[in-house]
Amino acid sequence: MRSRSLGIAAVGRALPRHYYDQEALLAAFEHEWAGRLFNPRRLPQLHRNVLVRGRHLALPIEEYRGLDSFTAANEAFIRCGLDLGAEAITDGLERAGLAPSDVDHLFFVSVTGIATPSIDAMLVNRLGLRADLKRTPIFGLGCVGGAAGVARAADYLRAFPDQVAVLLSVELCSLTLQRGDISIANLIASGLFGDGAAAVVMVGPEHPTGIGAAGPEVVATRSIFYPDTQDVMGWKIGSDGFRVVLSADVPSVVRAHVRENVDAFLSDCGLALDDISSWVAHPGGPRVLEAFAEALELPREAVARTWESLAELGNLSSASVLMVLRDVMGNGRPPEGAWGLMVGMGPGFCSELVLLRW
Amino acid sequence: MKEERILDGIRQAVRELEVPYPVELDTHVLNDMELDSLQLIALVVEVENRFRVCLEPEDEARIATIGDLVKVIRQRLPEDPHG
Repeated sequence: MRSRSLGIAAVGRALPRHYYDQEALLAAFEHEWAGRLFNPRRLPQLHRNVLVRGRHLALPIEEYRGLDSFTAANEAFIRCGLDLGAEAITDGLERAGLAPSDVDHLFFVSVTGIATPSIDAMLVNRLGLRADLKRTPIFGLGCVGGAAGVARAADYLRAFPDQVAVLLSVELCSLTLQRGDISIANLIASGLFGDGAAAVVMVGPEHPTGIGAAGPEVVATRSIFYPDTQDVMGWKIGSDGFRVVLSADVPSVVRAHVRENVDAFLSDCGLALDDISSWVAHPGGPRVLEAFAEALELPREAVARTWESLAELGNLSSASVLMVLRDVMGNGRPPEGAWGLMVGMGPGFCSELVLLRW
Repeated sequence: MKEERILDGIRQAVRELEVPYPVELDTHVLNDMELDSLQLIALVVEVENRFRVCLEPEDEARIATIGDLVKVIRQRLPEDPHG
């Protein structure tokens, strides 16, 4: 453990207790959409294609029919998100050996519900965070929010190297599902996205307790925006809530850019692709992950934890890459000095790269 | 239903999928349009919902070109006395 670096002290997580395997979820959707899809055989085909074994849901499955409006879904987001956010931060701080009063800045990312005061403000009351806590709620980054959140928290700690920043991601994708939408994007999304929360505890190199980074050091970060790709992913937001936009072009955008971006970033850091031995990649979906690995010529085992996270939890939007980070920190941690790269992608379309040193 | 009307429906389905390739009867769905397996399912679902037909696995195995897709849709459509 290096004790004087800007790094990740711990990652906490919270998953809703309602877990359903993919077949149970499929049966529920088949029931819901019976008669809407002309060929009922297609839904199982699409759902099995996403290679997800099951997902945690914010609510028991029978309660989703009661979410008959955006108001009802968003109220559930606030209620469940607050509980899961509190649990994830508590888990992260306990793992880091820190107390709520040690936190100087709380970054909150989500794209699956909104609140004002924001969830981070409600958590000040719930967890007893300090009254002078700085808060930055971030809405709209989507799946890139996990990696981008780590990068922004690292930026902050470079300015305030004696402080503690926490990044909380709460994504309750199931609450955004549009039951009246039988577009291909929504059919795929209904098989792919799950619910969960993750909290990354990060400490500056001059933090007085010398807690240091039990996880990797955050060495450098880069944001990359792809002009004129805003239609490939996102939400159409309306009176019925968040309607998914998910173009079939996403894998080709990833394939077209990710190699060049990673090579350029690493080169600027004095490194090359071969130097990276540990990958913390956002799962996206199978086609995105395949495009990512192909473009970077990575063997399947290099992103095995991402495949496993996709299978176990589904895509948790911004929380996914943080779940993968937690898994890498907890089991088979890379050797000291090894280089790692965290990669997220999301609406914009854009990428965020975070160079890690274990 | 006439071949040209089915072809137009397929073109609309392809536009929905945002595949930027001109669709003609001899267009090959894999080699020309470069559809992957998921995009192919997506195209089939669009077509099924649009034409109110169910394509069977043996139909799907026969689809190499858009012309093949037109043929299987015609076979699955109910008889139309007006052609």
